[in-house]
Amino acid sequence: MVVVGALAGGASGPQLRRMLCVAVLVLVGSVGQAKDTPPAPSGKVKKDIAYKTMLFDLYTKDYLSALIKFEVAASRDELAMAPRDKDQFRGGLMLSYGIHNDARQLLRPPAGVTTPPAIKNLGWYYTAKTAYRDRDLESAWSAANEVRDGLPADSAAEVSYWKVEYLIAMGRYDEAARQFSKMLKGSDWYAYAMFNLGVAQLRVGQAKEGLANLVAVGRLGVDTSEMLALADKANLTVGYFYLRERKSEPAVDALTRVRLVGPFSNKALLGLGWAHSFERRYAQALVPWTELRQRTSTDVTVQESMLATPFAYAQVAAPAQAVRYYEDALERYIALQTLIENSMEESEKGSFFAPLFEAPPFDDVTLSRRMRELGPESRAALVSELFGNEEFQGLFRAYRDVLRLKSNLDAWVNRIDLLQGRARAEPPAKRDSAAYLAQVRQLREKYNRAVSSRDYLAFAEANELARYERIAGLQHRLESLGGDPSSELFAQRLRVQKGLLQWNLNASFDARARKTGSQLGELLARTPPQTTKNEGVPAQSVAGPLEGDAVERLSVGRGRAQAISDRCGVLLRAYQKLIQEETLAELERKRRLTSAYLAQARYGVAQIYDEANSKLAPKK
Amino acid sequence: MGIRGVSRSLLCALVLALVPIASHAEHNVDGAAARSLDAQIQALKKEVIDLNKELTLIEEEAMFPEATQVSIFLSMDIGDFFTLESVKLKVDDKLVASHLYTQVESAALVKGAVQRLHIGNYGAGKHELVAVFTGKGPRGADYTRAANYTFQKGKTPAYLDLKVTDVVKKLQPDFKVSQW
Repeated sequence: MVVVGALAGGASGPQLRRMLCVAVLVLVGSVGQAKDTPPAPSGKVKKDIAYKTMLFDLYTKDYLSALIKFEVAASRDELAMAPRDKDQFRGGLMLSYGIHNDARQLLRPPAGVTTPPAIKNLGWYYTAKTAYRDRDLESAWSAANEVRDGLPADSAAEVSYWKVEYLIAMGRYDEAARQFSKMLKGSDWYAYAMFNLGVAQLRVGQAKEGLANLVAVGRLGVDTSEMLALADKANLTVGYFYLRERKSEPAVDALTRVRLVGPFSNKALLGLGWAHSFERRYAQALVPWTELRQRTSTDVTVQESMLATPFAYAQVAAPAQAVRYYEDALERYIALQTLIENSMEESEKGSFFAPLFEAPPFDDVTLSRRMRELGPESRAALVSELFGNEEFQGLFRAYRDVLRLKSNLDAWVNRIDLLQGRARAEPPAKRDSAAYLAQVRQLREKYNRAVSSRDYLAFAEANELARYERIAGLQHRLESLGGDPSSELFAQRLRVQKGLLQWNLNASFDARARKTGSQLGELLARTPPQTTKNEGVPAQSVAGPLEGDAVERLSVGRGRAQAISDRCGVLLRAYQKLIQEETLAELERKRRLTSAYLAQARYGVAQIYDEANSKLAPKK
Repeated sequence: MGIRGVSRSLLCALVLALVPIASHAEHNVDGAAARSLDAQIQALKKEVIDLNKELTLIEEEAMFPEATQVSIFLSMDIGDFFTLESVKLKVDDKLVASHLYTQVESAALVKGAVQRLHIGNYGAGKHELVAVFTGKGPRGADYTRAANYTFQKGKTPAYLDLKVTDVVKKLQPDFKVSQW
């Protein structure tokens, strides 16, 4: 424009030449600048990134985020997949996230001969699994039969296993046995199928076949923890079958093959005692029962052994020991009753599982660990059978899923308020995520300080800390008494106790620090979704406010989010109620059982005193 | 039968009634109630996914127009020489992202997944990016490295990749930033 102006103004030759040079240089400079700016990422790059960012959520088992990213990418045509593959992928994600009704439709192989066999096989495989989950056994069985050769070896073994399972579930045991005989030996699936078939055969009176299968599972030479547990379970089942048949020797034979340390050891120890007891070998019965009664009394088999042990002592003419063990049992049963009653009260108030309800972990691994961490000494151990129940665990997972959905929706409502400028002085979403991350950072800093200074008290449990403080308090009081010689022994004992506590805390410092470190990592991973994981720092502002269409669409979206969030709230209360009811029913069952044991123990003591008195009474 | 005999029979009956033959938990959850709730959850999940999709599309279109959009991703290659524990990201000397990685997340990156660390709006021109990576290096030693990069923002979306790779010759990790 300067050049045009110069021309219009009648600039001289050299002046014009200078201006032209400058203009050319300016133009070249602009082109150079444009060349320095990289072009937009290509469609191929966008598709690749869309897929890989979805994989991040998939690999971290955040199926909700993976599905959202999938649908967003599909809307933008950023998925480098054929339509059929998209459906399969979507179906697989839905199956992982528990939307199995839709997954079943998507994964069902499309009709027509053009579908490659590998895709068809996978489709039938997933169709069978989802049908079984929905208790549609006939569909599951017929889908499993559509699977042809070509699956990976482990999946093929799994299909064979499921075929046996479906037939057992339909009560077609002979067919199940024939199906089982076609399975390839050696896989874990083969062992599971053999076990389930054996149990089913025992239940329907095919004892010979059932025992043969279970004994074979019990004698498998295995070394993985799952297979060892399965072998224990098989041996236990055989042992208890023989106990019911009052056949002691084969019962002992089977039960002694169960590992002493394992999930089935308590039941095996109890059964062993009874097997000896049936043959009046009470001294031998005392061996497993004495071991068992020392274990945690929330376990029903331990409660049983607390009664069986003094009973055996009474049989071997050791009434003094019998009375001692009965009285010990009485004390423990009374303590147990109190624990059960307190737990029932908490369950009725809704606070029994409060830690799991208020902050449910968002991944399965942490859920299982948190359930185990409720620990053998805790009240939750009273309902350990419930926790072992897959359906009960499913209730917790469902609760967790709904809570996650609600968090997601509430976060959207806040974000939309912010976007539409309806936010309060400090946008709550930003405050929540920023405050949350600030809290976690503080914890992280405390953790780092504790680790670098090896502060053993930093990772002490509450009861250890309380004990440490109690000891320190007592020491301080003793010192203030001026070193009275009569209190020297007590002071020495306090020093020993404190020393032991310090030694234990020091010895376990590294392990506790590692555990806390990993829990901190999990805390950070629990940042509510759809809020930035970036310390709540907002993006730099857009030029101008939202306009027209976006505002209206967001308003509609906000309304939907609020409505669905309210429905989530209703569902959460329904789940809490169901979990509460199941827990109460289980605790009530335990209370009745403990009352029966208490009565038996009192009866046992009374018996012994009665017999002793009758011996002492003068003969008439 | 004497008292001892009665007691023994009672105890036997008690134990055999208690322990199930297949050692499965006897407790059955109320299946009908659980299934009804399950159907409701499945419907809810679908609605939430659909809503999230719509809102994400609206939000990204409104909040991050193409002319100013910059997306920064993190990826890893192999991962034998470095275990990622955290990353801090600054653009133009302002902290824009920070993330602590769980083992599962680090493993996901090593398997080939990519994480979007930051999306923001930046004007046309030069911008300075600094990324600080913290983790465990070769032989498990603490390791902190920074990578910086100057990128030019034009009128189209910019995608930047923070990549951690293994340099086998040096037995060391390498931290690079590039623009797609």
